[in-house]
Amino acid sequence: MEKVFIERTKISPEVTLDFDAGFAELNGESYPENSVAFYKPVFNWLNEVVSAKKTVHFNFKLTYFNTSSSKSILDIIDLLEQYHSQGGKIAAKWYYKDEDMQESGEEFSSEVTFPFELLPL
Amino acid sequence: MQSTIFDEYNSLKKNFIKAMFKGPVSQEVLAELGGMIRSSLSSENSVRNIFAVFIEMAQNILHYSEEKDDNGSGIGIVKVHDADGIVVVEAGNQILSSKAEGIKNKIDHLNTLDREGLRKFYQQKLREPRPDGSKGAGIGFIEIARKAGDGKIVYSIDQISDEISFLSLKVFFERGEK
Repeated sequence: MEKVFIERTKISPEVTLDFDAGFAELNGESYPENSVAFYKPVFNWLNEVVSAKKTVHFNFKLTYFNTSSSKSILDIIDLLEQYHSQGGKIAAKWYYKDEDMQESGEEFSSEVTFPFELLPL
Repeated sequence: MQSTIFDEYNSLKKNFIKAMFKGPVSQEVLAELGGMIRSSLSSENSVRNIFAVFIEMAQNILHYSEEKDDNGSGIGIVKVHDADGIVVVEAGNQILSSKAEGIKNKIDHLNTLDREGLRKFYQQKLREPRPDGSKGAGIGFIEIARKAGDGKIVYSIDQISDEISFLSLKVFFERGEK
């Protein structure tokens, strides 16, 4: 299956979605006008890897996100949690560059039961 | 003599205006102004919070202003000024008068919460479904209060007509070097 790569812009992160490797990464800042539309490819990809029962490696390397993106990130994490509860294998890494992003990572990871590592960027 | 652009320039300069925009706050305008604010206040320790407040305020205008241009971008005014050791971020836009009471109650409630209360409220609201037809998460005001220097939003609502009112928001940051 084709690898999806979305280039970084001033307002949206670089997105890598590799089906064969089960690997996804968001890298940069996120405050697009419509975060639901922007993150749609990520949800499509997640649904495919979940259907194929692949092991998922998800890297978050976000340096800033607005509230609307925050909701999309939570939805991604909820979907991963749901997959995990059905026996899916997941390894998530949350990279942070400052205290705000570290705190956000802690908040997002507080309710997950799959491996969710917090690492300095 | 009648007022000229020179007078306006002098007035803005005297009032230490860092950035100001009145018109349709498109995503492009928002990104450019955001970048400008960030670079002009890069030595401030609260620059990340100032930027975050500006983005939420500007996107509020973009999505929710009652006054829109032909492309559907919300029209409003945003202003950042920096004087006497205080950075002030302000925004204003038209709202439906029928929504004034709800907005007033929402902000009044936020202003009663301390940092921990705001954090919890944010987490709680983040986990609720997106408001119908909204591009946002319905938590912009909470984020603005959380990032504000003193955790408070100063606001006023002026009635323009029976149907339309004007919402003004203001947030303060104390200057401090990184």
